[in-house]
Amino acid sequence: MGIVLAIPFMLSFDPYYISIFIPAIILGAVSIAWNLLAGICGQVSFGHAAFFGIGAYASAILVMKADWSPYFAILAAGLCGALSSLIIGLPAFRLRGAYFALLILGFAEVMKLLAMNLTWLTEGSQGIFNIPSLPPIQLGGLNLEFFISRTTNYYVASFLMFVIYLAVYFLRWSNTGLAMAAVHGNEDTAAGIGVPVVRTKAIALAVSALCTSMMGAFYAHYIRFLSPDSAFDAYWSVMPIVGSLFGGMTTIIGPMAGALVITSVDEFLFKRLFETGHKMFFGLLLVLVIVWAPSGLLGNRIRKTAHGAEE
Amino acid sequence: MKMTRAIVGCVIVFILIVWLVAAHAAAPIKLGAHAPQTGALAKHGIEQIKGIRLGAEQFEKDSGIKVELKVYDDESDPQKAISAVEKLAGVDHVNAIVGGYGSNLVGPASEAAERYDTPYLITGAVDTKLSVKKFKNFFRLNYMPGYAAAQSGAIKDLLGAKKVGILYNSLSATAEIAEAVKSQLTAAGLAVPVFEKFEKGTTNFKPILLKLRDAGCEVLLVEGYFPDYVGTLKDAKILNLPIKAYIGAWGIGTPDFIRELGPLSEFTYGTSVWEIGTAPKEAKEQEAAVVAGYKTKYNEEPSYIGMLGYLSAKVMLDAIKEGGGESGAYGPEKTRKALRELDVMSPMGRIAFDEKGDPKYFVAILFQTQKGNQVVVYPKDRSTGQAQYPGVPWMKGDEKAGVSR
Amino acid sequence: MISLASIAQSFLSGLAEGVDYSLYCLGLAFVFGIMRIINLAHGEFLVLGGYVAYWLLVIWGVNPILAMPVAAATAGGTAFLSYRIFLQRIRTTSDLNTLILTFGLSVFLANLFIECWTADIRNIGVDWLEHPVALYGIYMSVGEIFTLVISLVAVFSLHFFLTRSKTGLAIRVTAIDRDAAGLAGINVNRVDLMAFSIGGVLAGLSGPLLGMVSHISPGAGLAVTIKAFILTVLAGVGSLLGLVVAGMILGVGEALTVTFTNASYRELFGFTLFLMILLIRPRGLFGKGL
Repeated sequence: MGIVLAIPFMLSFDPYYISIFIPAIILGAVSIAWNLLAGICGQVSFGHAAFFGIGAYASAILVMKADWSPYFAILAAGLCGALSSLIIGLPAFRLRGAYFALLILGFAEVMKLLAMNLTWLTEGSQGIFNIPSLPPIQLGGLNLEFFISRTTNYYVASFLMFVIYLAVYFLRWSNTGLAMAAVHGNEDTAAGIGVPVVRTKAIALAVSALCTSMMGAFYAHYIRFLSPDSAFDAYWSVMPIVGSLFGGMTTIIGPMAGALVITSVDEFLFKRLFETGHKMFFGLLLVLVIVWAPSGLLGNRIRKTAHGAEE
Repeated sequence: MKMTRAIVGCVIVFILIVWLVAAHAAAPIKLGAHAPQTGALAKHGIEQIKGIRLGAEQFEKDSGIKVELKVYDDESDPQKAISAVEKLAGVDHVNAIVGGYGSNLVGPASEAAERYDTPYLITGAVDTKLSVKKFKNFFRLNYMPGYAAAQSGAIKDLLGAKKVGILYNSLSATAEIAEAVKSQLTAAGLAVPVFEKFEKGTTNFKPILLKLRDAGCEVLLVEGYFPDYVGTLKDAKILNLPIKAYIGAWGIGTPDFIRELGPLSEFTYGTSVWEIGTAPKEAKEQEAAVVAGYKTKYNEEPSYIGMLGYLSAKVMLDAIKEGGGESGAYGPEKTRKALRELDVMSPMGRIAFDEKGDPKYFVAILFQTQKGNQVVVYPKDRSTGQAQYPGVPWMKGDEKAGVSR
Repeated sequence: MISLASIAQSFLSGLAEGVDYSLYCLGLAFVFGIMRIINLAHGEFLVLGGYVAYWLLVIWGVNPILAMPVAAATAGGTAFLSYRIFLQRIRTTSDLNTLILTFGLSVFLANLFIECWTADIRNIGVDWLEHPVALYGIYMSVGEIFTLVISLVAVFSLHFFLTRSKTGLAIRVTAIDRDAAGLAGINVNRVDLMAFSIGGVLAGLSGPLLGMVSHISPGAGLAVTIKAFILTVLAGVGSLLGLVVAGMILGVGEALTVTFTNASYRELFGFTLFLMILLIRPRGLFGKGL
């Protein structure tokens, strides 16, 4: 975490680098949230973009149509995300493995389509322009403003990520966390020893969605423009998975580290070397890393037993 | 040897003068450009940058001033578009930025450019909402009202149709122009019985086209992009749709449109800022030079996107040079002043900017594809030929002897 | 008002499109059903086949129908290499790894296409294939009829291959129980390699058809993969014929949704159906159990 705080200093507050790292931090936070559900509780989701987008739109709508302050809107957006996750999640928990993942994917697509069609609420495909950014904070004599790429945005994002990290940390080491690990190992056994499986999964999902939605809301006030395509972009479903895998799904900090590394490598290494076609090497790198380091940089080996269960 | 010393003295002075002049004249201009080179909008961004590169090269040749062009791929991603401006303006300290494709990229990027007080001229985002904030650094060569006026005007005045079916892609720009054209047509007393939005990526257009047939529409207007045209034209051909004209928005009649669709492109109408051969009289020479230059450099003919890229680079570079004056002291305020005072003829018509940065005199042209050429048919004062109406690509031979307008 | 002819035409167009969907999906469904691998690069294999057919047409004037075997072979070869060099090594690690690997592969391929062949949109247009055929006022193009027939032939061929041939049998046995298959003397690794390559072949086969009916571009793969997913879940694992029927249901549903309501609800139909199936009957309409 210290590294994260130090980065702006290292790079002397250069706004270009800030503008690269803010999305990286957003991704890092979402990756941690995703990993709570997937790495710790064992439920893989392919559709976290759903919660990201719901959070983004909820916050934008609350601020622009109901005149809320963005700070409260971000929190409320998080709750919206958590609520929607339960609406889809509770029935979804009956499914296992890949089917659960696909269901959330379908949910993300449906949300995107709803955003496109409910034009009275979301302005449809045209998108919402000119979303207000976070209003300035008065701290003693200091006036902190939030223009694009100002370092203040960076710190708010980092703050949110830190909060999420703490939340996941405490959750993991609590009794519920223990329950999650049990559910991850083997659901039926967990149920057998008295773990409230559905409730545990629900908590994991709701917290994961809440965090993701909050980051989505932050994104809305940072980029200040939303469209169904950008808010529900598959990027937010896929990259947390990539980041988590890269960094190791068995730790809490792993996903964040993974997200930061892949963002940096793509931007600073590949793009510098190849003006066009840099994504090609990104894909290739991904393939190579998976083949030669399947458990990620910081994780432990995950092997499949003969019966397909993971240990 | 007084003579020798005098000669040497003159030579030295001469060299000094030349060196001084050269040093001043040689102050290089740094031009930044961002456009999608990867991602969904890659095709358009790549062409745009090609045009910009050519523009910078020609400017160098004509003015003798060196241009350092820095290109940044914004990956069709708004976040990267912001980073593009951060890098170009903040790190590379360019004198101005051109490029930009797509309202969702240009929106955030224009805000960033405003923060850095860097003049920003775009050609790829026509949504009117973008100029609402009246950023003093925001300029663009084309925007939506010009296209809508060309379409509705042509339908009313040139074709004289009474019932129009409008299909539009749900994306922002196409949806906006569809709404604008619909209200302009209904205000003029025409009927629009079919007005349907379709999602990008639709492949089966038959169900929607059938609605047009049932409603008896004479004209089909498709506000969309290349894939949408391909889909609608193919399905309309299969259904042998009984309409009299097929009008698209932007992207009709470009070199690769003709290449990919072949005979299916005949008689389609489209709007554009420019296609080969459609420059106004005063700019024909310039057009020829640009087309020739593009062909030499890239081995293909420029599309309107390439031409827009070229013009954006040229206009911006000229303005920077103009603002910098003799001494080459370029500055954002001077560049902006030069841009606002600009009023030139170009292959796309008259270029001048209003106080919001929108192009004051921009009117799109409506052309019809005839045997692989774009024949401008509207507005009348720019027209280069007659429209064939009724005329659709799937007509049978004997029907082709329709009325020429 | 909507005429009866229009409804019938809409229905038929949806039916044809649905059968096409099932062909596009065949490779993904096969690989998922047999190997439990979700191949995110499936769409890119298909697009690769499309490009092969396109260039064969443009450079040598080869009819896309004739180009199909070449397209299929190219895609199959790519699949073969991908599996042999990369996928095989991580088979024993978690499912998520294969997912990310195929994702990386899809990103690599999609951008490779841009580098090689530019981001331009490619149309595979052969005039006589686009010629409409009319029957009682209902139209279909020659190409569409061909596509329909080829799709059905492909599905049935695969079905017979799996149920009647020795290799097909070996593949199915391995899918049910790898250890038993190994004990019975089947080279499990080779079966895996073959199955994945067949998935690639099936994808490549559909590429030219997609180009004929719609268009090919570097980014077209993603939409194909997503549609294929939806259809796989809708149909359920284990029945190829079910795949075709499910495809038809999807296609017709989409078309009629447009006819009776609005074009913008087209996609919503598909996804809503998808969610409902997952929630109410997860093994799909015709699935044979998880």
